[in-house]
Amino acid sequence: MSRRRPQPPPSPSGEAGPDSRLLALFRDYGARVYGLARRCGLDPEEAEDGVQEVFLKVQRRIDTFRGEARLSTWLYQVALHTLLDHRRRVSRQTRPVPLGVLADETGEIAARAPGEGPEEAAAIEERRRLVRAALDRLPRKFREVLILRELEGLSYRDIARILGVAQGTVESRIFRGRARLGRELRRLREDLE
Amino acid sequence: MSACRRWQDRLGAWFDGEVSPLEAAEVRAHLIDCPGCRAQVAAWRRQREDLGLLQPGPVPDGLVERMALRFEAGLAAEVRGLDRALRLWTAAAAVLLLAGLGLLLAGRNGLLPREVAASPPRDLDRAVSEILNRPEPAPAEASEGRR
Repeated sequence: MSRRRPQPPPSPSGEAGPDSRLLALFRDYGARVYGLARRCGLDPEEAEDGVQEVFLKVQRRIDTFRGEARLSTWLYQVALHTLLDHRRRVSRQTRPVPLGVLADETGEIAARAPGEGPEEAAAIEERRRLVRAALDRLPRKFREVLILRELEGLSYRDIARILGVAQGTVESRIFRGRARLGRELRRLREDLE
Repeated sequence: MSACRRWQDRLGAWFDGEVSPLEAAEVRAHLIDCPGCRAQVAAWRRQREDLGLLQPGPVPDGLVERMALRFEAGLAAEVRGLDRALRLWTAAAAVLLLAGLGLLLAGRNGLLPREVAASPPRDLDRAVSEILNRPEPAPAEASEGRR
């Protein structure tokens, strides 16, 4: 993608005209960024806000895109940092529901799979919250590689490009991240028992 | 039982599908003989299953278009406006803080207008004008002042 200057903010009246290329980018990558936002732990509403924040940053920083990296890699860099920061801010503002409180008491229960009873759904939701809590406890460098590898399904090479580190570093962080996550999961499960 | 130290790197890369077919065959052969590495792989599989719970469902129909419209409709301008306002407030707070600090230091060093004699020349005009603009003292006080 060629470099271009950021455009003025779109006006509600449409007089200044929204940047059509930025909107095209939004339509092309919006779903992926939304998915990443959800995988970073944002709920649907927060994820929508997170996506807006990401594309605002894209608009401001598009000048820094040198064309050396792929646009998707650059976008991932901006999105990952923005969304993890967004998640940290949101987590600070909201009081987390303590683990062990049944999910159906909190109204957080996700849509049930066909044939899944309420108890089963609550147990799965509880397990999901536990995994999320364990992941949230990891230092950011481990959390981001695990999100990109295990949830986004990216290769070591792509992760290295996004994070701007060597492939060996990615490999080592994934290995250590897994060990750390395993310990956190065990600790949280023990606390629950 | 723990995984073999010298196989750890290759084991992780194999688990993530990052090795060549030849290396993959070597790892598989090693796994047959090594219960420690098998246990490690099993633990990673369980963890991957756990992490799989964090996968969101498909993006709802029309969501991207709705978000794009929101972006287009000027939320960007609004958020940037808030950002600008925040920056202005921060700058104003910094100016006030500096002014407060300046006053405090001036007071400590006797540079306030009431200590006209000690004022440096650049403050003289301001101090004189302040004295001239002070309200007239009551007559009794004024005569006492003359004595």
